[in-house]
Amino acid sequence: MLRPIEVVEFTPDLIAKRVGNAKAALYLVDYLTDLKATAVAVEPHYVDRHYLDDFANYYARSFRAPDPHCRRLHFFCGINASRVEQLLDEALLGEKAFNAAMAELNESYLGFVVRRPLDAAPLGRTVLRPYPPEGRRHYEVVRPYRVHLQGLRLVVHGLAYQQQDGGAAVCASTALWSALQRVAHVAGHRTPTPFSITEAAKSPFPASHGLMEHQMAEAITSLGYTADRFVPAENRALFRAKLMACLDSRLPVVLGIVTKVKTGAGETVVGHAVTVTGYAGPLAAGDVPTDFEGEPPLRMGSATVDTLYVHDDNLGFHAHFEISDGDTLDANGNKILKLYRGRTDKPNPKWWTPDTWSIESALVPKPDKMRLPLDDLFLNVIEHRPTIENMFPGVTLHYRVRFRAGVDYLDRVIHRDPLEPTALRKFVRGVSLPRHLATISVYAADDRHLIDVVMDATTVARDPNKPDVLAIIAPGVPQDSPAWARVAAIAAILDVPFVPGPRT
Amino acid sequence: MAEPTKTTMSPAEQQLFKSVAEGDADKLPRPSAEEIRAAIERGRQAREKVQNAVHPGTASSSRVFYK
Repeated sequence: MLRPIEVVEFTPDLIAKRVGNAKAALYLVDYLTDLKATAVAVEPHYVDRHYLDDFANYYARSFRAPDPHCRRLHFFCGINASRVEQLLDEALLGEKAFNAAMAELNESYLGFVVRRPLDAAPLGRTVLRPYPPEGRRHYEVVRPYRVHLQGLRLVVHGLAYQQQDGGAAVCASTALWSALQRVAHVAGHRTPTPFSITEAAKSPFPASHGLMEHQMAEAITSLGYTADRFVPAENRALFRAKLMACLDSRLPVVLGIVTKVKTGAGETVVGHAVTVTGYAGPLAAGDVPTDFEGEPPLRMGSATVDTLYVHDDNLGFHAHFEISDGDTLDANGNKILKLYRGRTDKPNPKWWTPDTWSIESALVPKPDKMRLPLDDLFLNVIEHRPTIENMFPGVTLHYRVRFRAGVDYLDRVIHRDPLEPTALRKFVRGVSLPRHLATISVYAADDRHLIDVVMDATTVARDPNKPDVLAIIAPGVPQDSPAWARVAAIAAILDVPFVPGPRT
Repeated sequence: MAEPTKTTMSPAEQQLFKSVAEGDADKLPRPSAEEIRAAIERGRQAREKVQNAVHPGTASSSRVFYK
């Protein structure tokens, strides 16, 4: 049976007709309008692995089963429908024409939406290009998706989103599903389906009950990943810094949020889960209290974040939410950390009423070999702070911590950081780095990047009498400068390689 | 509320990051081995006391169903 791809101009009415008028569909219209979508190519018969798994394990055995296949809508900007149609046609006129058509379509490609045959939750796997960074938006938790349209290979960088269907998965599984899209990609695994996540949580209750935090963590570990967690409690600045450390590490964070709602009998607490995909900058450095009274706060370049980009299956993808300290207290007497599901800097859409939730916890799925707990990133700063301050006497310093892939870090060292060529060559020729690293990046007050202290993130057990530093990479410490002499002396005692910046 | 970040370095701070003539680099002052080892030990002790104060288990897991 031949069912050709239909290409039409993008209009809001088209989305209403194809995807409906739920809030997620209205969000999609606004998003695509902002991205200046111009044309849509509709694949009328698309088999989506994630929906198919939900179908095989849940819908196929229901009394009124929906169709097992979907439609897929591809969005383009900058070219109209007739040009897309023409390129799809011309692509079949030989290899040169194929490659030319593919290049032009890739340049205009915004991403895709899988339209599930579920009237209550039509938005299936949706991957769209994020908003342009414009110097302030940081979408750290994205990955490339390779898409085939009529044999043409298209690529979009994003993070998959979908509406919760309430049957195979609710928000907890759906938030984890989005998060694991990134982590599975990093770990080299196939991404788990919504149903497989719900199943891995081992909840004895129907999926529609949702999941508790420990069940979500169970799902993460059962699927072959490591779970980390942190809570705001009494130290909201540390919570923000940990959140930012995850995003800087390109790790997604699933926030567990709660609010009170009125019932017929009084009031109850309801929970929801969302996935953080990025943040807005620039960020001023701020003091982060430590967990020990008397130990001075850490000056972190990430503790003041107030705008997050969030996948929320009640609303949409990369949605602008804001966090702030609340005036009310939680059950332990600590001020709550609020999540405002909306924006205060300009009007919200008429169809969305912003609301405020309390952030209860953060769950972080990590690749299984990234064994070092998030807490240790901060303990590393506490441990190395006296030595680092000794390198730069009198300089006001602040820190950022993150996990990095060993290969990515080496790539950065070779290609991006300005480093002294002889020391760099010696380092790169001789170094062996683990798969995952933990780094402390040290900055001066003018945000000049001075050094990275590089450590192993694949090991938890450590020798308390031997600092586990692998290298000191110092793009902001010029060769033969007074700071260089001090760092070199310290690197010699630590017995680690030291790569300074070029002479100034 | 975090205090605003200082956005410039003082002339004294900047001096720390200026290369000297190649022949003079060996004469630049360096911290002594004792000073460095003392800083390492201070850091080790600071880590130990903070690490002992961190009790992830005390922040109990929520009993709320997220849905």
